[in-house]
Amino acid sequence: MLFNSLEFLVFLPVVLLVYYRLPHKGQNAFLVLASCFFYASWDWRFLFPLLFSTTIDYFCAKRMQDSLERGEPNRARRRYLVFSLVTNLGLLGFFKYFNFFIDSFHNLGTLVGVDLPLPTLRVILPIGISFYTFQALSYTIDVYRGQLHATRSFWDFFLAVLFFPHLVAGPIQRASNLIGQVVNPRRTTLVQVQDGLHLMAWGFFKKVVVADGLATIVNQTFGAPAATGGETLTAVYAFAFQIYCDFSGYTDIARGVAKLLGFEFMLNFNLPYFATNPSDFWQRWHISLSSWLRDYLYIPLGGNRKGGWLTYRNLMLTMVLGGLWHGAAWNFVAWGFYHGLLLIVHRLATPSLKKIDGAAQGFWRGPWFVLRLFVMFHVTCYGWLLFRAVSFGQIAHMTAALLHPLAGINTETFGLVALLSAPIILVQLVQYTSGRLEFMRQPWLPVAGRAIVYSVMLYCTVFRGAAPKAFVYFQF
Amino acid sequence: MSEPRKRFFTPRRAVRWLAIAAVCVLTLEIAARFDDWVTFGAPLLGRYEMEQLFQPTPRGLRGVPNAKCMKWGLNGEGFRGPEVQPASGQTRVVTYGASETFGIYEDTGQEYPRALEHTLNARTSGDRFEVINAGIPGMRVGSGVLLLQDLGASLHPQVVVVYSTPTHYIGVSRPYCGRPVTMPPPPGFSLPKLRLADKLKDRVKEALPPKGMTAMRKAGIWWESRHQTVIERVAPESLDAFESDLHCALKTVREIGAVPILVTHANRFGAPRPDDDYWLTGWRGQYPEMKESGLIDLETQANGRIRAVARAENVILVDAAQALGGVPENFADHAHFTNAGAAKLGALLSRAVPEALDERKRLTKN
Repeated sequence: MLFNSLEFLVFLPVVLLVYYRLPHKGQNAFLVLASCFFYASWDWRFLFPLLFSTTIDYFCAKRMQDSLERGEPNRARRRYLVFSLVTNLGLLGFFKYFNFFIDSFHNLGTLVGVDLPLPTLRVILPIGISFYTFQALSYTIDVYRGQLHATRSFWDFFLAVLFFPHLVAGPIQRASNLIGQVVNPRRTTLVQVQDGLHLMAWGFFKKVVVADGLATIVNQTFGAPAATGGETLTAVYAFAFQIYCDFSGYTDIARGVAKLLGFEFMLNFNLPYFATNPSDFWQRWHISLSSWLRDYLYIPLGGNRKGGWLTYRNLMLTMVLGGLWHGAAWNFVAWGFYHGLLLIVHRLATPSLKKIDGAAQGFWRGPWFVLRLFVMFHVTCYGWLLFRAVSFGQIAHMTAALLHPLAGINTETFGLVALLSAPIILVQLVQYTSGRLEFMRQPWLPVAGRAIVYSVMLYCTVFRGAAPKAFVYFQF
Repeated sequence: MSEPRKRFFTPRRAVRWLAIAAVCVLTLEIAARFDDWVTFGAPLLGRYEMEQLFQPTPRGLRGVPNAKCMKWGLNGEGFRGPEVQPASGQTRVVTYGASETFGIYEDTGQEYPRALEHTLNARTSGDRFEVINAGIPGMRVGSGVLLLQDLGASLHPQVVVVYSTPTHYIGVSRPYCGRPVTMPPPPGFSLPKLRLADKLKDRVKEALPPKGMTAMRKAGIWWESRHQTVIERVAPESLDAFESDLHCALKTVREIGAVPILVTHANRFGAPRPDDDYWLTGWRGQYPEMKESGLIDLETQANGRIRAVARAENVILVDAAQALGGVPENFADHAHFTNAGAAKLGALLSRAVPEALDERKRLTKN
């Protein structure tokens, strides 16, 4: 059941109608049922791996909590943590990466002239497995570290993992943030309803009008055998906005739905294309994943505490694994490697950049800021080429084509990309300059103005939206 | 002391919400009009409906010269398609019929008269054939006879393809044969119609699953037919009127010096399919007074009459019902063609046109 489907437009009001009439315990039980229904609408078999890993995590966390309360040494808790990690990552590895590694070994064998008779499995990837695995892991790791008190109720934990707004494509909620909201009684406020509806409207607009509108152009170019430099440039720009609007649109809808149900999700995107360097970018893009990787991978690896080379190793390892998290394909590894490299280069260049920052005062502050923005945006765009390409051959061809970026450019298509991206750029400029992410709460915008903006958005979403397409991040 | 509870609904608040709602509706309507203007070049003010392509005249409904609405555009003569070329040796074929001929769902240039023209010209080296699409949605085969006479006088076609729509004769008890359908006078004043409403209706239709759409249509049919007797089968006098009008149309075609080609009426229904109910209710929505089985029966009987007329009058018959009928890919709804269906009919007719031209030569010699 896609958010941008008629089924969801029926499902959500029914859920809300029943939900608001129930007491707290009933609300939780009902949300478990509704979430099961939501998830099973793709394939009811997806529920089994989810139920299995959640049960294991629940019991492991409970045992760790008991062990902690009994004052036992870390070693006692560690084996439960290891068991939880092996189970979760084992399931993820089995469903998502088994065939990838088998194929890779097979290809490697073929390359050196050895035909390895390796079996491949015909398994379907449960939607959202990468998201809920990371979410569940944050729970057991936090309990192990003693940063979170394990919940006694299996159903509360199950709901925190299964909760339908974030289940299939995040944001990856920290157990510490969500379990408290599940356990304590909730009351949806009028402000939450207003903000929730606003987020949903804006999310639908981003997904249905912008992302799906750009998808046609992107698919055409990336599906063509030999794109020119102009076509590649247009498609890369289009994909930069498509992926942003697709994923942040989903996140906005998820956060909006959560608000209607009285929950608060963490922010997942904070004007990422206003980043001025790679480090800044990762504090603005897919924040729930980047902060997860920082807290549960980069810092445990040693972070930047162990000096130059080890910091670079940790950065690279984190980003490569982050890339692989996105999908079982080498181009995602390349994308992760590329971003790891950017972070390292930026780290090396930071002293020089600080000097220029200090020198660029007065009039030069503006142009220097715009230059950094421009460079970072284009560096990010090249990363999107690696992310979207279907093969290394295509990456090589498109990279070469980009050396002549205006060759064979179709001004009409480029204009369409600009037109579809314009509302996003405009709104984000307002958000950035005003420092308020809730752009409809700008003090200078009167109520009538808001009504006009919402109506135009509604019109475009309903009448100008492309046919419903699945969210890009569902494949991850 | 507890604070008095604030009232949620106050007149001031109600007025405020009404004003906001009005701003929203107005914005949506302006957006719809702006969208039409950008997409189709439609006027920002005033009406914008397919019906505006045609106007009532003393000699029946006629296309408005150079009128445009959405994808449909008429030429200077008021016919769908490119401008009619000055006579310079080309063979003129007229396709005479209703919405199936005019073309509703096909992309521009893909309707069957255009497909016929392309196929005919592809067989010869130059542009020897010119096909004039004289289809007017809703036109009965007998009521458009005056149009045929006018076409004969101005454009002198050599061949006329007659594609009639039998369901137009439901409830008709006497032939038209040149008697134009009287149109109700236009209302003196009417409120401007919200373009948004039509767009919303279309969107709901697209979004609803087939079962939901069928249920909605059935409710609409029940509402429309609640005060009338629903008939099971077409009355024999309606079929007689249809047959008589076919004879009348053929006679007129011959009087203007052209050779007629009669075509049976094709529809998507053949061997039973799971989606038949969906399409049948859609069809019946236009004729709520007749049961779905009656519509199928009417088509079968009317096609029998068309074949009989063709035999009796010794006219070339193209059996579209036989060749295209029952194949869903050919139809975008119950009877209107898809691009593929129109192309197939064009190809079928292109084989009949040379035969008609040979007959015309024989007749001219005699």
